[in-house]
This record gives sequence, structure tokens and C-alpha cells, in this order.
Amino acid sequence: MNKYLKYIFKDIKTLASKLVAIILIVMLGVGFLVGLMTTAPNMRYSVERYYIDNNASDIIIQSETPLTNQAIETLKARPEVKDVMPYFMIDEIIKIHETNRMARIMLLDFNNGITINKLRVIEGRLPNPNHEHIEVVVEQSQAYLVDIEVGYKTTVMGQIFEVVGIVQHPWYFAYIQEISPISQRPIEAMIYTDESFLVEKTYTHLAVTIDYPSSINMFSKTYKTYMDIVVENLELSYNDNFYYTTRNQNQSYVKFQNDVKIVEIIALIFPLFFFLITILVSMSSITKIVSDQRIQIGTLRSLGYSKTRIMSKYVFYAILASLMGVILGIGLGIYFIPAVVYNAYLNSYNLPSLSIDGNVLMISLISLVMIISVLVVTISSIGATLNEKPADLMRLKPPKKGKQIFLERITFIWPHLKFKYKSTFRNIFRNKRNLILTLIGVSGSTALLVAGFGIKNSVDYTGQYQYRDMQLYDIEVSVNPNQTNITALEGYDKINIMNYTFKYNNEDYINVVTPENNSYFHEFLHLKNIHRADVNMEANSVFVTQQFAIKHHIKPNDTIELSFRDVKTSFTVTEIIDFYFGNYIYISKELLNQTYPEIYNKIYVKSGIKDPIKLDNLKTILNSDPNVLQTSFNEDIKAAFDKTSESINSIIIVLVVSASLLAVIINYNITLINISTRQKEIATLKVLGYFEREVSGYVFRETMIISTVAIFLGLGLGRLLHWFIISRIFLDGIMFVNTINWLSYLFTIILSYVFLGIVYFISIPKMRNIDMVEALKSFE
Amino acid sequence: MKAMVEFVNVMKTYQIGSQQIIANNNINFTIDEGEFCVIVGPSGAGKTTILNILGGMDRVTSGQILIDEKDISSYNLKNLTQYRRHDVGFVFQFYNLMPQLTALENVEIATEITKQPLDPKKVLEQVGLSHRMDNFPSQLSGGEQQRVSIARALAKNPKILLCDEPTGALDVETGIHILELLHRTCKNHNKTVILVTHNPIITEIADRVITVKNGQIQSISLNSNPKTPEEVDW
Repeated sequence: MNKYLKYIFKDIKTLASKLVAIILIVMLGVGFLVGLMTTAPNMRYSVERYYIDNNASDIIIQSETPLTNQAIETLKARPEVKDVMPYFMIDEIIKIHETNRMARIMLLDFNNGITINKLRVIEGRLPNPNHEHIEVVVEQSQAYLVDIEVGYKTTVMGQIFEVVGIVQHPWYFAYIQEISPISQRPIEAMIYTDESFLVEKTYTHLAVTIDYPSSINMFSKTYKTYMDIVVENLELSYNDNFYYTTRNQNQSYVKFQNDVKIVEIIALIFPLFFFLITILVSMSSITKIVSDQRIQIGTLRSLGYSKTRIMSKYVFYAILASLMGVILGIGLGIYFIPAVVYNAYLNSYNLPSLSIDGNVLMISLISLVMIISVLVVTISSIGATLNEKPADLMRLKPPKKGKQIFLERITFIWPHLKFKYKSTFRNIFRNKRNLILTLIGVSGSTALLVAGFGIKNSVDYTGQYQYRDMQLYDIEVSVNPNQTNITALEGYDKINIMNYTFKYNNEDYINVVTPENNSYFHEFLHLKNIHRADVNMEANSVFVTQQFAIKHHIKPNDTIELSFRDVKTSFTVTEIIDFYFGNYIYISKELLNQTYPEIYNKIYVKSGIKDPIKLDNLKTILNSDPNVLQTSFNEDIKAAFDKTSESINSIIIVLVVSASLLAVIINYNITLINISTRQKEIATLKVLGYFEREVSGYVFRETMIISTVAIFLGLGLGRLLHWFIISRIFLDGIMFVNTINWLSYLFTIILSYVFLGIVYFISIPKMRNIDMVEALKSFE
Repeated sequence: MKAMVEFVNVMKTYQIGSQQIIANNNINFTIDEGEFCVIVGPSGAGKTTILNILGGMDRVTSGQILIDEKDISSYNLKNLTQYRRHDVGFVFQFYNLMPQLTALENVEIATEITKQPLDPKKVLEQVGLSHRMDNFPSQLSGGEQQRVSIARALAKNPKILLCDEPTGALDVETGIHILELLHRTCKNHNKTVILVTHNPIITEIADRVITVKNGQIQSISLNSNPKTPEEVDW
């Protein structure tokens, strides 16, 4: 082997610790970046895989009249339609565990095999023909579906149903309440059995798969547009009584899409900072390597080695270290972080485990940018050294000169400073690169912490405000028109409500809510305007909730046009309401009844019941009242929200952990540089009789001061970052309060100082090990 | 006269890998208070090791060292730090000044931690730097930097002043001025000055000359009539 090559390989050993530092920082940077940037895509990919594996339908068509064979065949023959599977579906009340439950029964062709919306078997097996009783499978239980065990038997329409399996239907994977369209009651069980249950084959629904280019991502806007066009075309061809449901109207799909969007937005805040930190830290490591090897470089230069030849050695090291870091980082991040987040979300979804998509483009991009950054840093650092004269290189670089700093001109401060602070302040400005590195690193990680805790605050505060402070009623009961005398509700505080979906300016739909009594309404819904001032319902009140107002640029005193069953009316908006989940317009009875009849269809109830068993009893009694169509319990909604909040925690934990690790790494790195560039000074102090504590104070005081500035800078930056994230989470009917609790700031500050403390303790031995005799040696 | 420094059967060995290297062996000498003592010898003779041990920067393997009747060879690291803090003033060959501190501040880092320091400004005046107090080391000449270094050592008001090749990095003319300063300090303030050098000419100004060779003491001689630095033919 060539001697120079041999020398390059041998030298790796001496530089090992510095190269390892580069490997580690690149590994962490790439690991977190790859993990975080691929989390949302992988979550979507997992559901896409699930859709593909179970051949999920793109559209479900419901027909008011039984479907004819001819209708099915013509649909099948259409070019855009890939496949069609007809089935029968009915919502029926059946007895499960001695309680009447609204069950959705689907009759599918199990005998010939289900072709679309295949059921994923979780437990047991799919039903077989059986002469004694009807074998059925049931949808896996979740927040809104009751638990039914394999082996359970019940009688439905005179036949015995035996549960032989638990399954998952690809359209019902989210923990969300499905409402039976005719009765308006919530579905509490889903039962699937063979279509032979009906003597004569009858079909009410069609599961349809559509042919579309495989390049279209199932969660993209293009997909939605594509399906909307397909549906429009189908609507034009069939004037039958068909109702089309695309995935974009499927609750599970929408909820999942929204949740992933939130993850994606939060993950957005990482890349820039991570790249910056990785580059800064590897820059300092490489600078250190180059300055350690000045004499070697000088020797090689004077021996006549070309600049490129010498450069090649360091380029080789940089590529080697960053490549290793990239590979380790990909290994570390590719599965672990997406899995943590995805699994956290499984608390509100019944889904198969995480699938990892290659995400080749994203990962290659991250890796390439990292390697190139390290390379650029290396070349520029070594380039500067190579441009010095070989003779100068043979000498150690003298320490940076001291000079006066601007602070010294402030005569009312400087003379009063203790001498050790004077020294510290001069040192702070002596090494600008360290100053910048610390400022960016520490303020960046502090900002991430603030943003992380802040997002948690926003989510919690929003839930608290919406479901506890604002919404004071705990049950919402939908009733038949004007049938508001419900026996089970006697004795409770309640208010009758008109709640209808209106068209807004022919472009959007909106829930219009009108209470029977203006002043009493405040007891049920404690509304505030966007300036957080209480607002009361009065005769001229028209309140628009915040998100709807932002979306349609509605301001107080604007005139809006609403229509219900083609009757148009204009209203003047009086207030914009501080509101986070859902879109509503609250209109006074006096205004609404000028145009529309007074028909009450809802009751808000303040039951005050906390005992879940009593609540459940009330629910059962209400659901058995023929005038009650639907009940919605605040407790259930709160529970569902708390689950979402928990899931969001997972990504916040990833955020906090990565920010913390970075903070420690950056601080440690800077401290090491400080120690190594000041060996001589430290040794001198020791010879002068400074105690270890005083010596470490000399090095650390400066880090402490810069970090303190950086921490407070970071608090401000974090506030901005938080605002950026929260303002981007503006999904349909979901937004969060832009607020951070002061405790989050306090906790961030404490944590940041704890990290400084950790670094202080791990670097003490480094200072202790500096040999005093070193001070007597020269550098001339 | 009172003995300020006493070395009794001092041995210092270093362990390098599996090999034991003897740096000093069987070292015995005494230096009296107020003496100007020069320890001389070729490089590698072991004089730096003596200086390191004397300065409390290194510990002996065996033997006893009495400084002002206190046995520093039994000191732990903390006591040694205290010893360096209060009792020893160092003058280095390469000055070892803090680059980010002015001349005055460089003296203050030493006085700040000692019990009975001298006024830094006065000491700087003594060494002839009253007009350079607010300058940074990079703005001072080598001789001026060494004066700051001496001022720093003196301002601590130490029992002994240790100088490691104080003129080694200076031209002859400047070197003489520095030696004059040290000599004057010794005589005017009755300070014990111990100077380590490889340059035999300097021994002419010493009260006591300790010659070191191969890790052992070759000779100790008393100079009944030492010259002043100006009188020496450099």
C-alpha cells in the first residue's frame, strides 16, 4: 500500500475521539430527522397498506330502493370503476348482553369470499354455513362499540346468532360514533354475516373501487378531487336514488387524516435547527482536528505534498465519519420514532401495526445534505489552514489576543465588575465562533422545549376551555321535532335548542344553533368573544365561531347570507366567538323566527351526574324513549379528546427528548473546546493556586452567561415557533388556543440549567486532568 | 540564618508503561531565607523535576521537603494548592499571562486569592510598568511581559519566588534587566529566590549554586562574593 494511504489509516486512531464526536452528532441529527420527517408519511402509508391489503372501497353507494342486477352490471361496466361488490345493510335494535343496542348488520358474500372491504380477522374466524344457527363476526370493540366475545349467542329476528370471530372493517377503524341515518341513533355494534341470511338476495349498498393512477396518494388532495369528479360523473349518469360516500366523507379516514396532519405540522419545526446544530458541531470538531494537526500539515506542505493531497486525507475522514453517522442514524430513526408516535395513536384507532415505507427520496435527501454539509465544513476549514505559509503552520497557533470590549466603555458598570467577570466578559467576545455556536445551539434547543411544552399547553387548554369552561351542559339530546317533553329529563336543568344545518353563501354548510331562551342560554354555553370577554345572547345576537369566521373572512357587523331549504335570509354578525372544535353560528330566536318556524330538535341538559353507572343508566333510558333520536354525553367527548391529547404527547416527548439531548451535546462540545483551547490558561491558574472549583468557574462562568442569554432568547424563539405550529393546525373544525402556560417557561428554564449542570459535572474531570507542568511549556 | 527550603533524601520516579524512570535520586540541600539560589544543569538533568516538586506541582516518591519548617511532602492535593496559593510565586520562561487580561488584571488574578497581597499597582510601578498597566500582553514586549509575570509573583507576597529560565526567551540586554529586577527583589525585600537555568553564567550572581546532573546533585557551593548582574560579563 501507498505510504500516504497507510499514514491516513494510521492517523484515524489518533483522531478517533474527534471522529466519533462527528459520527455521533450526525447519527443523532439524521436519526431524529429521518424519524420525524417520515413519521407522518409512514402513518399514512400504514393505513394505505391496510386499504390495499383489504381492498378498501373508494366509494360506498347507498340506494333507497333495492338494487337491480342490471344497475350493478352497468356500474361495473363503467371504465372508471374497477370493481363493485353489492351487499345488504340494515341498522336494527338487537339485544346484546340483555341490553337493547342499535346494531348495524351487514350481509356479505362470505361463501364466495368478500372482494372489497375485506374484514381483517383479529380473533376467531370468518363465518361458515351452519345448519343450527347463523354464524356471525362482529367489529372489534372500541369507545363507541360494545364488547362482544367470541362464542356469544343472541337471537335476532327469531334466529340464533353465534359470534365466531372479531374483525376490523377498513372503513371503521377510528374510535368514532357512527350514526344510523334513519333513526339518527348511534351504532353500538356492527355484525357481519353471510348473505344467505336473507332467503332472497337483496342489495342496498355497493362497495366500489375506482381505477386511478397508482401515483395518486390516497391521502392527497388529488385523490379527493379525483373521487369527487368520479362521483359527479356517476351522479350525472344515474338519476336514481343513490347516495355516494367517498373516503373523504368517511369519519375514520377524516379523523386519521387530521391527526396525521397535526403530527406532520409539529414535525416541521425540527429540520432547520437540526441541520444547523449538526453542521455547527461537526464544524467545531473538524476545526479542532485541523488545529491539532497544524504541525503535521505544515510538515507535509514543506515536504512538498500538494494541497489537494493533504486535503484528501481530511475529506476522507469527513466522508467516513458522516457516512457512518448517516447509516447509524437511519438505523436508529427509521423505525423507532414513527413507531412511538404511531403506537400512541393506536389508543383511538383499531389498526394493524406500523408499516415502514422506504421513503427513499426523503432519507436520501437528508443523508446527502448532511454528508455534503460536513464535507463543505471540512473543506473550508482545512482550506483556510492550507492557505497559511508552511513555516507558520509549523508553529502552534498563538491564543487569540485579548482586547477591549464595548462593555468597558460603559463606565458606570465596568469598573464595578469583579475582576473575574471582566475576564469572563472579555473571553465571551474573544471567541466569536463559540459564542455563536452556543447562542444558536442553546437557544434552539430551548425554543424546541418551549414549543413542545407549549403545544401540550395549547391542546390541554383548548380541551379545558371547550369542554369544561365553555360547554356547561353535559348531555345533548336530539329529539323528534318539538317533542321536547322527555320524561327521563324531568327535574334537570335544560334548555330547548333549534339546531339545523344551513347553507352559507351557497359555498359552505354551517350548524345554526338557536336557544329557546336568550338569558338562560348563558348557563349552558358560556360564550366569550375572541377578546375573551363574556357575550350574552340578546335579541339581535348573531355569533359566528372563530374558525368559520377566519375561513370566510367574517368580521363583526358583516352581513352574511344563510339559507335553509332554499329560504334565504341575511343576518348581521354581532360577535366572533372564541371556539375551537366545530363550526357554529348562534342566532337569537327573535331573529331566526322572523323567517323560520320555531321547531325545537335538541335539548341541552345539565345533569350534573358524575357517576358513570348512573350516566349509563340515563343513556339507556333516553335511548329507549321513542322521541329521543340521539344522545351525546360530554363525558364521552372529553374522554375521546383526552385520548387525542395523550397521542399528541408522544410526539412532544420525542421533541423534548431530542431537544434535551441536543442541548447536552452542544454544551458539552463547547465546553470541551473551551477547555482544550485554554489548557495553558487553566494550567497557569492551577499553578497560581486556584482551587479546582475556581478553575472550573473560570471556564464555565462564561458558558453560563452565554447560555443564560441564549435560554432567554430561546424562550422568545420558542414562543414564535409555537405560534407558527398552532396557527398551522387549522384543520376542518379543529384549531388550538395559541397560549403557553408560564409554568412551561419556568420548566424549560429549569431543564436548560439542569442540562448545563450535567455538562458541568461531566467536564470537571477533563479540567482536573490538565497537567500543571503544561503551563511551563512553551508555544513560541 | 533560618533555613527556608530543606530537601531530605528526596527521590522522584515516574512510571512510564511498565518501566520505572528515576528522575531524581538522593537529593539533599538547604536554602536559607533571603538567599538568591541558582539551580543549574544541562537539560534532562532533573532540575525541572526539582522545581516542580518545590513548587507544589508534583509530589515526591520518597523523602521530605520542608518549606519554612512545614513538611509539604506530606500534603494532599488541596493543601498543595493552598501552598501554591499563599507561599509560592512563579515566574515562567514564557510568562504565561492571560491574553484577555491587561497587565494590571494579570497581577490581580494572583492577588485576588492570596491572604496578604501587595498592592498590584505599586508592584507594577516597582517593576517599572506604571505606564503599561492597561495594556494587554499582546501589546507588550517580551521583557515587559516577563516583568508583569514577576509582578504577578511578587504581588502575592510569597515565601519563595521560583523562576524557570526567566531569561530563556529574552535577548541578552532584556535578560540582564530581568535578572537585576529579581536580584534587587531578593536583596531589598529579603525574598528567597530560586532560579532554575541551564546557563552557567547566571551562577555568578547567586549566593548558592546547586549543580544537578543525571538526576543527582553534583555539587553545592556558596558564593561568598556574588556579582551583581551588571558586573557579570555576558
